[in-house]
Amino acid sequence: MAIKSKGYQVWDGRLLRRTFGWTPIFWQGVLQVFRKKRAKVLYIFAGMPLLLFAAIIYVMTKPELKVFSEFIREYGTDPKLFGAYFTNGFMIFILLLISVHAGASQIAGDRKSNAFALYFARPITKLDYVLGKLAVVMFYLLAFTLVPGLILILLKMMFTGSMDMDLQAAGATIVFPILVSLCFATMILAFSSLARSGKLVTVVLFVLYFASDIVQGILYGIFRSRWFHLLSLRENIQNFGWTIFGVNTRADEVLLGWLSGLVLLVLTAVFGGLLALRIRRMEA
Amino acid sequence: MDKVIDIRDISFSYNGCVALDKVSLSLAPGIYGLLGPNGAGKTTLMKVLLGFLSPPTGTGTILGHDIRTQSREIRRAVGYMPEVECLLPFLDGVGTVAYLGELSGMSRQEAMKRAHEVLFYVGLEESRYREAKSYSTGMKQRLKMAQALVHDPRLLFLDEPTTGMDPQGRQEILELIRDISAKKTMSIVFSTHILSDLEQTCEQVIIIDKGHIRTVADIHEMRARQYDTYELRLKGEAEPFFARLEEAGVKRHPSERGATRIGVPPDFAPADLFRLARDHGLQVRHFRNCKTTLEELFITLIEENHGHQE
Repeated sequence: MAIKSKGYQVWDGRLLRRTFGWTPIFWQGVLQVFRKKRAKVLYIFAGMPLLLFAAIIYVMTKPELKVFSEFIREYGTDPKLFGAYFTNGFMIFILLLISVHAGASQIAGDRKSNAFALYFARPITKLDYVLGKLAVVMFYLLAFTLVPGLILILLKMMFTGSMDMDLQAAGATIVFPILVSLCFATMILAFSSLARSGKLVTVVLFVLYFASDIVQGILYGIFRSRWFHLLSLRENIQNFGWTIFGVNTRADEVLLGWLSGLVLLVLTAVFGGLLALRIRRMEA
Repeated sequence: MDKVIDIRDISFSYNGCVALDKVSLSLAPGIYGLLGPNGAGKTTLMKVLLGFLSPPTGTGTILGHDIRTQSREIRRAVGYMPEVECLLPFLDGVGTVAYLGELSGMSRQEAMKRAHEVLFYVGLEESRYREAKSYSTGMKQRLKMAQALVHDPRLLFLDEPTTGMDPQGRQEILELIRDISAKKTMSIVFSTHILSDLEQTCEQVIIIDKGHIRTVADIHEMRARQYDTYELRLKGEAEPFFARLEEAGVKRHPSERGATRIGVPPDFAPADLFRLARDHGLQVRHFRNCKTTLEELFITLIEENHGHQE
């Protein structure tokens, strides 16, 4: 392993000045997550709601398939259809899986392998680092929420041959997945910044997710009060979703929905703040 | 000639514990060894120079860029090989180097091309597609060297580059350092505890202790100017003799096989030594002028400074 006979070669290229210093971190992270073991299985699994809802839209718009209409009666309006797509329990669980898959090792892995000394010796800021990591998790979350949502809108327009669409549902199809993805992304990255093991982060997130659901279920069972839904991450996402899509109409349901939205915003702010604090304190 | 490093009165503390105390340093292009005992402030100095740490007082420039306001510019122009074992998870050798090249501002294609080039240069061509975490310690050191070189920096900081390497690997890394410095396009600041590494590679040495720069000097000049070392073996009770020598400013170092090494000041003639031995009734059985090792110089300088402080 001796030095090659030609010796050290000077590089005569020019270094770029990137407006967004986080873009290499983003692209590298996206490729890295895509190459992970069992990634393809997860993506197929995550794509199933899209196929199912595409089929529902097709059936709804084809008179010759009226025989199936009984099964899909509850998705009769745009708010109900798109609200059901984003707030069904399977979809929320998929979001949890994707968060863990894309985000658990993002910062924990760098901590474990002392990668900060390599990152911060480069002309990037700590903000660039966080944005790069956040963008990776957001990319995967939005790829399985926002993008399928937009595809479903297009399919609906294609199958009905009409541009008619409930505007609130269309707006919520864009806003809701972004807010929920941001909440999941900041949460997983905040946990990732606290640990050195992605597996530990995964376990903690699952425990929190299910524990919040179980505690909520027990308290709701005892007191029969829907306000305890505010303790559960899943219930908050569902209540907020039904409200933002315009499915909830009763005043108490709407109030609970907006309060759930507020809880999600507060969680996002708290985890975002924790993440910023952790990264600021990390030394190269 | 422009200075590569020019800092004035830089201080830095960790929770009240002073790591750097009004450090001033002005270095022309070249290769410098940064020497100091553990906790002297070597790594802190490197981190301040790279902009990882922001000193509360002092000013300075690295390659003409202000250390307070232009740390990104500094890190574009500087390469850093950290002391700690560090790598990027899930990446192979070439992926690691190319990715870090991209982060330095290289385009993706250029970074990949250059990554292959520097991995060949450091001798990792056969292992470049292996996951970096499977590398041996020596290979990880080479990988760290490669990532520091990928964007062809004008100034290279090497923090303990030969740590954990076997003698052959160490020699190869030193050879790389000599080869890079021979091109005269890159200045190097090289921190190490292995003093013979500095003797083999550096033109100048910066000695740092307790957060103060003690000296910046040409290694060869310093040895010639300040110290003249002899090895001697005596027959008889030698302690009063050595006590008398120490009063005259002679430094005494234990040596092997019953011999004693002494460093004498420039005005001390060898004849005085023989005369003093005769006066103490001693026979000089062995007397030889010998080369001062950098280690002896370093210990002497540190001891002198501690003596001044006391």
